Amino acid sequence: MKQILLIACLLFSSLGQTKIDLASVHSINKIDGENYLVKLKNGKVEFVSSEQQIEQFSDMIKPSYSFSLNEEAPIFEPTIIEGLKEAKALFQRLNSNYKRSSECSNRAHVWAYEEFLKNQIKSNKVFLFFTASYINRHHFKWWFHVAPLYKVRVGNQIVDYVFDYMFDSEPRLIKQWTDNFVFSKRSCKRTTKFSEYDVNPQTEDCYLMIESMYYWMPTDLQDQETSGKYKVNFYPYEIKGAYDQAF
Amino acid sequence: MKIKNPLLVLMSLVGIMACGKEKPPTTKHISFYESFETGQFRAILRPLNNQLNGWIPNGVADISISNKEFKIKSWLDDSANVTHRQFVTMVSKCPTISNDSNGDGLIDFKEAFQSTKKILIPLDSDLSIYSEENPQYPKGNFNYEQKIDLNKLQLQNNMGLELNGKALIVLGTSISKDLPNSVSSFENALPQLSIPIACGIIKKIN
Repeated sequence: MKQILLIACLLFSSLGQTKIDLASVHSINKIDGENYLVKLKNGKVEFVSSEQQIEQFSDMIKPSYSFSLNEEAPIFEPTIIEGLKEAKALFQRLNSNYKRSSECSNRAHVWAYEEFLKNQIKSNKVFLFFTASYINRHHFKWWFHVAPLYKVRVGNQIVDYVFDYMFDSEPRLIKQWTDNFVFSKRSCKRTTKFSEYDVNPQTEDCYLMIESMYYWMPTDLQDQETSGKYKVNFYPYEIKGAYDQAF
Repeated sequence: MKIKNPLLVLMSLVGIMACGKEKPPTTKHISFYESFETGQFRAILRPLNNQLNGWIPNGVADISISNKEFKIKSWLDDSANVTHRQFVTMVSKCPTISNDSNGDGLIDFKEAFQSTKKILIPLDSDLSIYSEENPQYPKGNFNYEQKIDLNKLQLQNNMGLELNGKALIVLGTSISKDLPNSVSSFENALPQLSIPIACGIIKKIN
């Protein structure tokens, strides 16, 4: 027990007045001068303003990427929802029993999983990434957000709708959804490479990535890009983890 | 289930006699002549005026009504450490940007609800009386929990206790936030403390 406590203490490092668990850090961006933006795995951000305090995390700053894909991208075909009425009904049956401190990636994973399990409906996930300059400008509290994305037949068109039950009262078009979080109302640049978001923090306010419902966290998108690991299934340990944290 | 409980007649009369003088004329308790729905209700509190701060406020309110008791348990996550007035209203829609009649980019209380006459239950620290002078509402990131005998629950504006489909609204952003002069105030409060930040429609879940 003492050993566990000791390890826990070593992992916790004081950055200014904020205690940050080393294991919870996703990456760190330098904003300007001595100001750093610490991106946490749960999507939240912390601002740190001392180079000394950031030293121990130095290997997490500006990660390098390789782009070798060793597998061919698998084909994933999301279900088409027949009309907005059905889409709204689906939206209303999403699980509302989420916990107060639930993280968006866990909520989205459970919502997508339950709809697939109960109704065999396959969906996508839409990841919204906020750039360092946007976060800094608006003192925004998150660096990413994610929600299920469904294809809906509207007239003779197939339209993408975001199902973000916590923040919207009905399915929203992608731009309507991003406007909830991007106060400049700029459109978010669509990309298929996580690195494009990570290495261009100043030019855009936000980036969008769309993947299959099996993608859980931004790390999954990074892994796909750096090591060609495509996700083609729900993994029980991920589902359990998502339920435990969020519901 | 719709009920009419004769016991409430007596209890209501006792309540009115006991504290009738302290109440504004437009408030009342449950009366024998009206029906109300018992059960479990939930409102998902979703953000309004998102751009006010870096955190997108959100929360959940769970309400239960039995033959005897009104109970509410709610939470709200928000980065503004200010008093959050919250009300069950009589309107059946949460406001949207289309309610921004003065075009300042924000939906204020007046634009959202036209008047305080649309308030049904002020969710403060005492559900039996509505104090305009010193209301005690939750603050900052809050957990709120209150319960009260139905005969003591004070309903505003002579309305009945029909919660299904009604909007629950939460007000208040950081007082350091600059707002345009066009943002209205609620009962002499600062505009920052009057502006809606979250709203949800109450729905019966059980």
